[in-house]
Amino acid sequence: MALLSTPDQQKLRDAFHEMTSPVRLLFFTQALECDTCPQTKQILDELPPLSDKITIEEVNFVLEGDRAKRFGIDRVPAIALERLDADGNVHDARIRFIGTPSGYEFISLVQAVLLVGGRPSSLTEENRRRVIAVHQPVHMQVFTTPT
Amino acid sequence: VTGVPKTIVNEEIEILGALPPDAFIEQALSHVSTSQHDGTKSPA
Repeated sequence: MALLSTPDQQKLRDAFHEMTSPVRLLFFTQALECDTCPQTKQILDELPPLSDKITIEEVNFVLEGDRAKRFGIDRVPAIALERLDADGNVHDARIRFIGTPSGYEFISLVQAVLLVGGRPSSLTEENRRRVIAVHQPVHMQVFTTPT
Repeated sequence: VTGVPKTIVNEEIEILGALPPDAFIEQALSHVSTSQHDGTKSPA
C-alpha cells in the first residue's frame, strides 16, 4: 500500500517535472540488525514511480563495505545522492541522509532530490558567491527530528 | 544535541535553530577561509 496519498503523489509528480538531470539515490542498507531499514526502503520506493528521472540503487552495507566507506557512510540506513549528466557521468552530490527520512525529513529528501536534479537554488546571487568562494572542505551535519 | 535543528560545521561551529539564509551562511562560513573578490584568499 502506498504511503503517499494520491493528491500528494500528484504534487510530487509536478515538482519532479522541474528536474533536468536524473538523480540516483544510493540506499545503504543491511538485512540484519537494522530495524529502520525496511521502513526506509518503503519510503524510497515511493519516489521512482513519480518520476522517470529518479532511481534507487540498494547498496549492501556489509557486502559492499568499501563502497560505503568511499561515501563516508558508517551506519545504516543511509542515503547518498548522485546526479547523472547527459554524457552518462555520475556526480556525487555530497549530500547524505543518515537514518530514516520519515515525517518532515521526507520533505527535506524531496528538496534535496529536486536541487540535485537541477532545480535552481533559492539562494541569492550574493550568497551563492559567498559559497562559491569557499576553497576548503566544509563538513556540515544537520541534526533533525522527523516530528 | 539538545534541540533541533542543529547544524555543526567542521565539528567546530554550532548553529541552533533555523536561520534565514543570510544569517546561516554568515555563521556557517565564519571560520571557513574563502577567496576574496580580488582573487586573494582570506584566512579561516
